[in-house]
This record gives sequence, structure tokens and C-alpha cells, in this order.
Amino acid sequence: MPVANAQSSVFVVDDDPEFRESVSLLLASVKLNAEVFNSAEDFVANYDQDRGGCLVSDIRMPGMSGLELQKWMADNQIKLPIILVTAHAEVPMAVEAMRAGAVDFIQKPYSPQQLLERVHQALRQDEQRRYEEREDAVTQDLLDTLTPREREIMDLLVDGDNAKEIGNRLKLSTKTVDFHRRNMLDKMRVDSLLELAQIVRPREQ
Amino acid sequence: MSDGDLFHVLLVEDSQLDAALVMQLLAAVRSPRFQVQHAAQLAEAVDLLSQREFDVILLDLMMPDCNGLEGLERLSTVASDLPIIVLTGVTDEGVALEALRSGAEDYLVKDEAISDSLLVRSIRYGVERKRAELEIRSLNTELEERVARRTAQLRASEERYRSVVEGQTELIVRWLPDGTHTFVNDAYCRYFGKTPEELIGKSLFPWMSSDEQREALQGRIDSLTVENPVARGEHKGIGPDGETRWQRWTERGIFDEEGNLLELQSVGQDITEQKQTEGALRRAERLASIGTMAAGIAHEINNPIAAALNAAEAAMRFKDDPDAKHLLERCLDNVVRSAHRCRLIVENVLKFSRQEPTERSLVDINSVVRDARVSALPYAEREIATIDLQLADDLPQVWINELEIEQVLTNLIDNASRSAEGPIQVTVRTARTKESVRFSVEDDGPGMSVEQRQRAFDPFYSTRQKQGGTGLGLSIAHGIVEGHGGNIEITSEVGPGTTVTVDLPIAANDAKMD
Repeated sequence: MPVANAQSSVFVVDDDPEFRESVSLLLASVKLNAEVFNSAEDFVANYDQDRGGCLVSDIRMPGMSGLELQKWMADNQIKLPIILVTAHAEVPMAVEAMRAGAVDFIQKPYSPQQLLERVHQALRQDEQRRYEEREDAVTQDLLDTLTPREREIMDLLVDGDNAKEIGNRLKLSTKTVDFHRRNMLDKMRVDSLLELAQIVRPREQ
Repeated sequence: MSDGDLFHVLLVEDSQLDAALVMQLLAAVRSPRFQVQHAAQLAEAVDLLSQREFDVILLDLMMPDCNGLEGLERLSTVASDLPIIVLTGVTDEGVALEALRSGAEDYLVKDEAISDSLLVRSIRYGVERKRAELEIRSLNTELEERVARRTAQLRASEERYRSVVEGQTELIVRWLPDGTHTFVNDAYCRYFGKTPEELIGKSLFPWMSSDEQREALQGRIDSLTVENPVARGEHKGIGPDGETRWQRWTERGIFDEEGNLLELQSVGQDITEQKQTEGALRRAERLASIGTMAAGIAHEINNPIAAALNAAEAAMRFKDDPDAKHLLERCLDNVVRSAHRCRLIVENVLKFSRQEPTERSLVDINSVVRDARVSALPYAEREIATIDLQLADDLPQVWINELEIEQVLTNLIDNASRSAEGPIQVTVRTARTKESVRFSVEDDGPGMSVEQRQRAFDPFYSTRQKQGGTGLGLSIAHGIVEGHGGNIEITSEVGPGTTVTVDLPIAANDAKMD
């Protein structure tokens, strides 16, 4: 099991003090960092949006419920994976949570191993997402260095047009197109169109 | 019948001459007019009467086929509704009287008396009298019928009444304090399968199923006084076929002027079937509540069990790490606390499901309140709550299980203390009402919503589930108070706090007449 990024945390929201503490101990025993909150309101007030990890929250709590917390996160573009903990009688609620896009839910009673598996899965997912976001940010920085003409030619190349077609379309010589193409690839720090497509295409879709 | 001024006359006359004379006479009359049918013989007259209708009969007493009054009798049986005017040739007072007695309307002597006016008047009067008589007779008949109907109704209602009295199922018996029957009703005899003769003078005690039952009855008798002459009780008796039956009896004592018990009147019912139905109902209810409870327990116990498992799992991983000693301790501590919570839930469930009657004694409620305050204080202080007592000092003792009532009080005080996050003022009061000793626990917390109030006594309903609330406290309190024949009530709205009031019946021998 890959150990998650040391900076990421498992945010545990539950109004049961013993349960809260036991989850944080369990996570500590597998070297995961846990941060506990006794209510959804507490989490909302104190969560720093840059913090990665995952959220383990009870559905049924006095005040703001787990489902309401899930909605708040969606509304605020917080993409932290959520594991909602449901009691036996709350399966319909869990279904609703799934529809609303909750990553996962786990039904009581569950074993500590089950909880740990779900947490690890959520952490991996978050790590992947954060990695992609970082990559996207780098790509965006590179894209920002392109001139409008280079950007225009890049978009057409990525769409599958060749230099001659582009030249005809933009009323440029093939040579000029090739010149812009070389500069563009250098700025994007790739050696080939294939590599370019890999970093650019996902975000264009 | 006549249509007002036309009379249909049957003339029974053997003499053709006399007949012609009468017909001539009547034919001359213009108003009223007469239509006359002549019969020369009695048999012919009878025949005519059966064929058509007449208003009046003129009869010559001397007919060839019968003599004198015989003819009159025969005709009056055939035509009882018709006035008969007798005509005769002889002046004979005796015959005339006899004829009138036999039902003739009038009596006319042919030779001297027959003039048109006399005959007409006689016919007219005769017809009118007969009509009046008939009318009276029909009125009488109607009256008789009404009387008969009414009589029948009365008889039916009397029969109904009798069947109510005789068919009633209440067993009624009068008996002397030594058990001797002095009066038994039908139902009582039927129930025990004996005749009144077999019962009167004999003792009723053999019908008690056991000595305890007999002592219970004796206890009821001894409790009767002039002021309080009625006692009720249920007991097992021996039924009609010698099997054990449940009976409910109401005993009324009859006293002499010095207050000595002379006699008792008991009214009873067999309630065996009712008891069986009640039992089945209770079992069904209990099964249903066991189902609810099982789901509730599963739900409640989930959290502490999950916590204990998490902490134990973590402990397994920390145990070999010398640097994690502190964490290992926290794990074990968590396991212990969580397991305690499970135990508490199970304990409450057991208490809740236990329904045996508990030991009771006469207790001063104020001392129970003081004890409960002491028990609740440590928790209350943690919740920043203060507990004030306002105790009435003239309270009669109550017949209760002290520990159970203290549990109710501790629970109510505990609930009140936790009703808000901040400081809470809890006031416990005791008071005397007409029929009960009352205690109430009041807080100045946020109050309860309608839903919370309605569900407050439901098992496993809690607003503090995660703080270790099992949702059983008020359920158990409710059960205990009901078990004491008392009443528990919540007065609360969102805002001005909550008061829970408990009334416990005053012990029977301490109840003063107000």
C-alpha cells in the first residue's frame, strides 16, 4: 500500500468523541495524519482549501449533516474526496450521496481494515488529482509564453492539420508555419507533437 | 246500502194482501223513496238477503214456515246489521216486548197502526239507530283492537325486561361475613351450576381457588367501612366446571347503625377470556417492541463498537513501537470507555425489558429527591448546572421502589442539566395534589420542539446520541412511573425551558379524605 504524501491529512468529522478519537488513533497507527472536527460547521470554519487528503464524515450529525457538508464542498469547488459514514438505516441517504457525487460511503458496522482501505483509496485518488492539477498548472504557464500566432498554429496542429494545410488556411508559407512550430515546441518544452498532445489534449477536452 | 233518500226494503209477509198494501203505501212516499222486495216465505227472505243488500227488513211475525219470534231470530242471525221492524196482526204486548228483546228495532200493529207516515218514520229511525249502533260497535271494536295492541306491546316490553334481568350475566350474591349465601341470582346459580336451594345457607369460600385468594377476599372484606363500603378486586376462583377462572368482583358492605358489618352484596363477572385477550395483546405488543428495540440496539451500539474496534486495531499496531507508548495508552483507554458505553446501553435495555414488579416500601419523596440530587451533582457540575430544591414539607409517604424513583429523578435532573451548553438552572419541586404526591424537574434551557416532546418517551429517541445518550432514559422513567400507577408529563416549548412533572399515587392507607 503506497503511503500517502506526508502533507495530506485525513479530516475526520464526527460528533461522537470516542469514535473521533479512535479513528485518529487508527490512522496514526498506519502513519496517517488525522485532523478531527466535532461538527461539519467546525470543519467548514477551519479547513484550508490548499490542504490535501480526504474527508471522513458521519452523515447524521446535529446541525449541519454530512450531506449538507458534501453540498457545501461542491459549491465551493473543494475536490477533497469524501467518505461518508452511514448507519444501518441510512442506505437511501447514502444512495443520494452517491448521486450527488460523493466518492465513497461506508456503512456501519465496518472493520478498521475496511475503513483504512477506503481512506487509502481516497488518498491515492486525491494525490492523483492534485498531481494532475499541478501538471496542468505548469502546462498553463508554458502556454502563457506562446505568441497568439504560435498558439493558433499549435491548436491546428493538435487538431491534426499538417503544415501545408495550416499555411493555406492562415495565408502563410509552409516555411513560416514550420518556423512557428519549432519555436512553439521549444517553449512548451516538448520534442514532438505527440508529447505536446499528451500534455495539452486532456485540458482541451 | 241506501244512498241517502232511497231505502231498500225487504218485506217478509205471507199475506199477499197485506204485502200489496204495504208496498202501495211505501210506493206513494216521495221522500224518502222506498224500493221494496217482497218475500212470501222466510226461506225466500234468507235467500234474498244473501243476494243483495237491504237497508231494513219489515217482518210479519206470523209466517207459514216458522212461528213468531223464531223468524225474527233466524233473520237477525243472517242479517245482524239490518234493522228489523216487526209487523203483526195481533195486538199482543207480550209478543211485542219479546220481539224487541230479541233484537227488533220496532213493533208495528198492521191494522191499527199502519199509516204511511208511521211506517216511514219507523223505517227511518230504525235504519238510523242501527247505523249509529253499528258505528258505535265499530268504534268499540277499534278501541278493543287498540287496547289489544297496546297490551301486546306492554307484554313484549315486559318480556324484554324480564329477559334482561334473568338473562344478565352479572353474578349477584348476598352473603354473611362468614361466607354464608343469603341470596343468589339466576346468573350466579347458572355460573356455578347449582340451584338456589343448594347455595342458600352454605358458604361461598369453597369456590376460592387457594388460601391466598381467600385471604385476598378476606382482606377486601376487612377494608370495608361505613364511609368506604365498596371494594373491588380480581381473583381466581373455581368456575362452573371446576376449572380455574378469573373473576372480577365488587363487594358492598351493609352495616348496622353501630357500624358492624351485617352482610355483603357482591356483583361479579367472569373475566377469564378478557384476561386471555389482554395477555395475548401484551405479548404481541412486547414482541413488536422487541423488534423495535433490537433495531434500536443495533443502531445505538454501532458507534461505541466501531470506536472500540478502531482503537483496539490501532493498539495492535502500536504495541511493538517503543515510541508509541502514549498512543497505546490512549487506544486502550478508548477501548475501555467505548466498551463501557456498550455496557450502559445493554444495562438500560435490560432494565427496560424487565417488567417484574419490584420491592416497594413507604418512602418520603423528599428524601429521594435529596439523594437523587447528590447522585446527579457531579454530572451537573460538569455541565455547569445548579440544582435547587423546593420541597413541600407536609407530604404523605408514597408506596414506591425507592431506587427506581431515584433513578427517574436522577435521569430527569441529568437531562435538565444537559439541556444547554451554557449554565443551566435546574429546580426540583415536590408538592401534594388531591390524589398524588407530585415532583417536577424544571430547567431554563432551550426547551423542546413539538416533535422532540412527542417522541421523548420513545425508546432510543435521543437528541444527544453521540454524547452517550441512549435514548432510553425517559422511556425507562416512563415505564417506572407507570409501574407505580403514576403519571409523567412534559411541559415544554422551544424557548422557555422544560418541566417534567411526575405524579405518584398516595399510598392507600395514607390517603386522607379531603
